[in-house]
Amino acid sequence: MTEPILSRLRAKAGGDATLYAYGVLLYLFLYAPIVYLIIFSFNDATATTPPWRGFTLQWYRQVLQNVDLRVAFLNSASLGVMTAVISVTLGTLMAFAFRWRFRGKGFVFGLLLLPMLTPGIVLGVALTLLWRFFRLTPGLFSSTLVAHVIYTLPFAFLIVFTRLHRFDRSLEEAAMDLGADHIRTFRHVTFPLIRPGVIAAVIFAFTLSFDEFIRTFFVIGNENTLPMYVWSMIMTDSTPQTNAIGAIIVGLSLSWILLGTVFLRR
Amino acid sequence: MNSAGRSPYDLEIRGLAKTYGAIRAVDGISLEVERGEFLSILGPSGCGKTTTLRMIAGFEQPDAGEIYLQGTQMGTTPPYERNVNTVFQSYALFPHMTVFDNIAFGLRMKRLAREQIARRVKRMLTIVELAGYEQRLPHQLSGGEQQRVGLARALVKEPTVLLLDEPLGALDLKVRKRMQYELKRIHREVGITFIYVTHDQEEALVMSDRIAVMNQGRIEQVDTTFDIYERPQSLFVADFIGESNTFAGEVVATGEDVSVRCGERVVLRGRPVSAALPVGVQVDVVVRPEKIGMGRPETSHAGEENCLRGWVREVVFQGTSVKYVLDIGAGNPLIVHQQNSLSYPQAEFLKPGEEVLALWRLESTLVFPRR
Repeated sequence: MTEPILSRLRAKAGGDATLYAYGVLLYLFLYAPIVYLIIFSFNDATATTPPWRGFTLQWYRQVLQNVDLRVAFLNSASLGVMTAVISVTLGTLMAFAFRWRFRGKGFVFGLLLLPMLTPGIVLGVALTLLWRFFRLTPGLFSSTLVAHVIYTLPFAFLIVFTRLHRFDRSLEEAAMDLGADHIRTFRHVTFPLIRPGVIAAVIFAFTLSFDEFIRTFFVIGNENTLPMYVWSMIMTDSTPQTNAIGAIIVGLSLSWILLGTVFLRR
Repeated sequence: MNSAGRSPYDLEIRGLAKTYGAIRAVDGISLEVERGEFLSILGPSGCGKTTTLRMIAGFEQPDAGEIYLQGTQMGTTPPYERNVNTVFQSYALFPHMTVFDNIAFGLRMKRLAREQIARRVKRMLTIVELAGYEQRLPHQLSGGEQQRVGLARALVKEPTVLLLDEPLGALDLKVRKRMQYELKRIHREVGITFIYVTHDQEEALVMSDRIAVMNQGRIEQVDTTFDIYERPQSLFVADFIGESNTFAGEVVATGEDVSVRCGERVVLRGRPVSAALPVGVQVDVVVRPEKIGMGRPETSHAGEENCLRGWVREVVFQGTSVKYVLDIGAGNPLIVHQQNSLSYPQAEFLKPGEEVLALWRLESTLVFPRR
């Protein structure tokens, strides 16, 4: 993927060696850790570090056979889906609310976006204490889901809001003028036009939730998500299996984003 | 819901009013529009014309007054249940739908049969001369084409009244001129009542059967285009439509016509537009630039009641006409338009500084009481 960019850079620089070297270093800086991770997921050795001992797929085989890992992965995926659905639904509804004028609109807007800037540890501690106060058991689809929705909601809201804000209201008037009631106007005109924003919000919320660590760490209780599992794996016995998991996550994320782009362009 | 035939009017407005905060956008207007009429609502921006249109469409609720469509009171009927359709200034075409789907939208909302929709859309496309454009998307069309689609989309529903909100405002001059004639043709072809909102007095004159001139939320005058131009009922209408010379003065003699002193030496004779004007009343005298003739100072002119000695201050050649700015000592300069019917123009035009007589008839002189 970097190749055409590099060659273009070379062409533009007209053989300027400094600029070329700068480009190479920059991309190395950005991608070397990931490339390193992927390469050593194929290393036929028990250590995750060089030297290279030959090619093997055994770490991937182990990943597929790892039941704990599968549970963690499914937990993360279903948590991500639920988070995305709840966040984007709430965020979209709130974005619609912001089409109206009301007292203190700016203040409420700021308040909505605040969780974006709240440090993860603050939310984690706060939710832990809250759960303790009510004597509830923390878990995946209780405290963790709440934490993830709080975390992703401002992002989902902001993405849909931006889309709605640019929306030409006269299109909705035109639809109603042509005989569509509010529901059909939404179905045939408003929603199709904000759909790319909604899809982008879903992808974003899912990705944020899927990768979330700090908040989850506080409120997960005795269950596991994928990032939690990987972290504990590295902490206890680190094998190239960790690399393989990393490589798989990279691959999944890339295809997920690619899919999103395809949808967005439609 | 439909009581067609009972009312002679497609649209009736009674005492309509709308206030935004402290601003009276529409301040109690009444209007009747006959079946098949092309009526323009004309006025400067902020006069309430668009608000009026939006209340007819049902996008805004009036604070007072009523709207009747073919005799049926609209009340709080939502836009999607009113038999009116709107052509928007911004076109408001659905960007994610093809030309066909845009035009078919209203018919689909009515749940008409597929073949019927196809037939009516096709006929509409022929009328607006866009046959073959069915599968294009709005962004692939020029402004003029987009507005034709907007027009077709509204007309295909065969509304009682078609509302047009400055539909040509975003087009460039040449396309606009062509679309004016197109709209007239389409109006004749479909026979639907058109309510056309514009701030462009020339456009209103070219297209309308009648014009309602609005100012500050009120209707100043509703009349045929001819009467709006020739017999304006207020200084605002006289001033807003066409060009006019306006002189402030005081009535010095009164009878069937009045004499008005404007400045030291000038007395103009004219017709009061409304009530008789007693001596001493402050008035405005209006005369259109093209109603004024010019003659050599040495000749005598018995036919024209107003004959003033003046000096040419400026000559502006405008192609089809020549504009003279004359000093007549009546406060404002006098502007005169003369048709350029000369074969050898340079030889015949007046020069700055020349002395002339400006002549016009009593009937062309409108006298308005100062408000």
